[in-house]
Amino acid sequence: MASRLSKAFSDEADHVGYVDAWLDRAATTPSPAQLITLFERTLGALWQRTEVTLGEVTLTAIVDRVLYTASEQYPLLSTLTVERAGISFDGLRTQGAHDTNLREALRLVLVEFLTVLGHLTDEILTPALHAELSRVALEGPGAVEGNDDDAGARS
Amino acid sequence: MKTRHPIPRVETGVRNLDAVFGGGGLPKGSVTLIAGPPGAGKTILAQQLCFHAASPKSRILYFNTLSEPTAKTLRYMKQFEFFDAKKLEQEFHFVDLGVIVRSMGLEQTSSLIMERIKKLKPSIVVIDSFKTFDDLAKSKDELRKFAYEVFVKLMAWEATALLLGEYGAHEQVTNPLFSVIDGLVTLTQRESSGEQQRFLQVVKMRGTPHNRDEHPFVITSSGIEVFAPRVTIHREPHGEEREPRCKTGIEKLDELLADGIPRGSSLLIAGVAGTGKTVMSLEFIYRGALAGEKGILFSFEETTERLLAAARGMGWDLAREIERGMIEMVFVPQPEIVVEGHLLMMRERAAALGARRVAVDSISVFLHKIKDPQIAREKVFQLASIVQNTAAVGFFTTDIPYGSNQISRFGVEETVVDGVILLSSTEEGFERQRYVEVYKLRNTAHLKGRHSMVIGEGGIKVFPRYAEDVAESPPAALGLAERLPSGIPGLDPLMGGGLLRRSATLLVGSAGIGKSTMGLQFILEGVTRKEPGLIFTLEESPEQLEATADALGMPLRRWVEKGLVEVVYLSRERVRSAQFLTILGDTILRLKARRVLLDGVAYMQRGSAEADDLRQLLNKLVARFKRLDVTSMLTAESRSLYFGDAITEGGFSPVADNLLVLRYVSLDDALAPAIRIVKTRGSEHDRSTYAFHLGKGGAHIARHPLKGAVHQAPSGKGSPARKSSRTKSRL
Repeated sequence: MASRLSKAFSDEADHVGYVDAWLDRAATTPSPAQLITLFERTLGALWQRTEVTLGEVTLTAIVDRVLYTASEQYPLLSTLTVERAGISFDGLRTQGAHDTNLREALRLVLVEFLTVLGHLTDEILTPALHAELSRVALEGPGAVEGNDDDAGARS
Repeated sequence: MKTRHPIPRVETGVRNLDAVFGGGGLPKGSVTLIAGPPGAGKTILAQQLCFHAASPKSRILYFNTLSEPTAKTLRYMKQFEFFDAKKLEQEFHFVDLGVIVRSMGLEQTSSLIMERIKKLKPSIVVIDSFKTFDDLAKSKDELRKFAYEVFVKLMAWEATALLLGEYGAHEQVTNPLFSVIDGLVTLTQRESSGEQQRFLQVVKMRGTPHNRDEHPFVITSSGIEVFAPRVTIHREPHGEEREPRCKTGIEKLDELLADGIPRGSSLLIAGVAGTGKTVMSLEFIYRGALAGEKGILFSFEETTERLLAAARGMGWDLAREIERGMIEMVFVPQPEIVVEGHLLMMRERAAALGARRVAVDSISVFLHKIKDPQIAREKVFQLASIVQNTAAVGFFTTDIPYGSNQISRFGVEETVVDGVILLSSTEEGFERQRYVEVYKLRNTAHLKGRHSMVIGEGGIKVFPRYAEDVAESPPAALGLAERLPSGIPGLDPLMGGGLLRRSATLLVGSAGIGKSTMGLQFILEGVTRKEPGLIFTLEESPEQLEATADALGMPLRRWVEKGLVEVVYLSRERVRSAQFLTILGDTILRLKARRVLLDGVAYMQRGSAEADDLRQLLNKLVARFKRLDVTSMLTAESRSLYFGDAITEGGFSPVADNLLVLRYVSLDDALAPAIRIVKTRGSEHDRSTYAFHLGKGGAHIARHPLKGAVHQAPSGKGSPARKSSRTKSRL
């Protein structure tokens, strides 16, 4: 069964809409620390999901591009670094936690990540990544809200 | 259902190359290696593509390595028409990696490359040459690692990459680079058909149904142009015939072609040198223009000036049709022929003009560099496809080798065209006579066999050996109700009251006995009945005939002047027997003649031709006369002076409805002319022999028949035949 999110954004390439809907539902008024944790976990989950298919070298190159592009718009993101296990948020926690653009900046990273991967794979991985995204929202400690319909995303 | 999105493409801007890639260009984000020896055109190809793709939204990053100083690259690049200084400033970024590669090694170079890519975010990245890294790598592993990292980063940035390098064919299996690239394009040059030619081959292109053939290409001031007719020229499905078929407009040729040539057809115009192929193709184009059909002639032999001069010689104002935009002439000198390139040129020119007629003179020269008949066949097929796809009609001339049984240069072209017109010539007497034969024409009931053809003022004139109506069914039987007076006093009562309408009467007799006079009487009688008359004379000139008529008080001259009688002299030196049917038929139609005299049929035959041929021709002539509602009289000279067993020595009896034999008889120890009616079809007739005399008004037949034996020659008398120089041996 498709999730409500999936139904709302039948166009798989509409990553912006998907991320916004997910973000609205997952974290209405989180603190900066909660927000960072939420994105750390989310991007970590997406990394795990993608690395299996694409491999570490390719994924590193893609994330490097995503972070580079996002940093041009939000310099605070230059504190994010790509490591073998994924994106490290340590720098951001110490230096950018109070930035007023934190939510938008992290949102951009997620959108860019999904968009670039979508382009490169002709959206082949998109359903799986969207499903992974929904799962994080439901299960993680950073999750704020959820409903039964989201169970479909896990199936 | 999930939608499948085609991989986006980068148009190359190189003519026909996108079609070779099979999908409209290079796949976006792919890494393609352009391999080839120095001077193969790798850099030009890459630069041409880059200039084409460069735009404010599509920037180019061009890395130059050790192979060539950037200054040189820029200087040479400026020579090409694709060079755009404005783009070079704004969208085309050159980076010289020479020093870095030499001093810092591969790892630093990789970082620098990525630095530049991140900064510019280019759509296309070129590394010229990547072979430099091969040379600098300490091991295959190092090269593999470097190449892989660079490619992955290029992929992550969605950059389409072109790597250039002097890689040989053997490296495709040994160099690790070849296993990680998405595409491989090789550029080579080698001798082909006696000259150096460049070839491009897409050996590998992931995710595309690319063509794997080698395709010739040239480098001109416009850049690279790839010729790939196998890829770009396809025969489109041939729909139903909706348009009227093409009539060539060449005199009488269309009679051979029956309904005409189906649109989309191509015909070979085949013959040895000098048989009129060029003239026929030229006239085909010219007549088309006069009929409102645009035409284009591609000449690989004669220059346009020479063709125009030839046209002027025929009386055609070809230059005016060119000015009117109805005709285009394209001359390609033989040494400059590039078959694949000119095939595409012909397609484009024909399409741009909207040509309904396409002539190629000649395909034997156009394809002269090709040694393999199968390749020649393929090229002719492509040419025919061009014609078919534009619904035009093509005339392709081809030289047949002397002394061969082929009907084309390569012996295979005829299998891919829709028709073949064979032109030939034979030596007859002191002249060469031309012939035309529609050897093959698909879906058309064309007239078979060889037909006489002449080329002269006005162009080509074909003389069909027989008309279609003659060939298909016999003429209707003579009606017995209507009889026409012969105009020869005393003759009609002997023939049941006159000549049946549409009948043919053959007068056979000795030289000077009065055959022509009787024929004139027959014609002049018709005039008094308002039946226009036509006299074809094969021996005497019209002036001589009129003088003879004057001497006998016959008003031939007057009726000629009034236009009711026309005398046509058919020179035995100029008119071939194969042309008579057409000439006579056309003249009868023009004058609307009702009576025809054909005086001296023996002269229709020349040289050593068989009597059978003449009989066949006379049969066709008589049948044609009857179909044209003409009552005819034919005269034939005989060497027999006296009545004997042989009635007609040439065996012409079956040809005519009426057979009248004129001979000499001995009367009162002198020779006198006499007539005997041997045959009248559909009538009772008098079988007696009648004397006649020639005097004022012509021949007058005696009222009473001669008595006793009349076939004996008088003893001791000289033969009149020996005094005649006109005695024909066959009659």
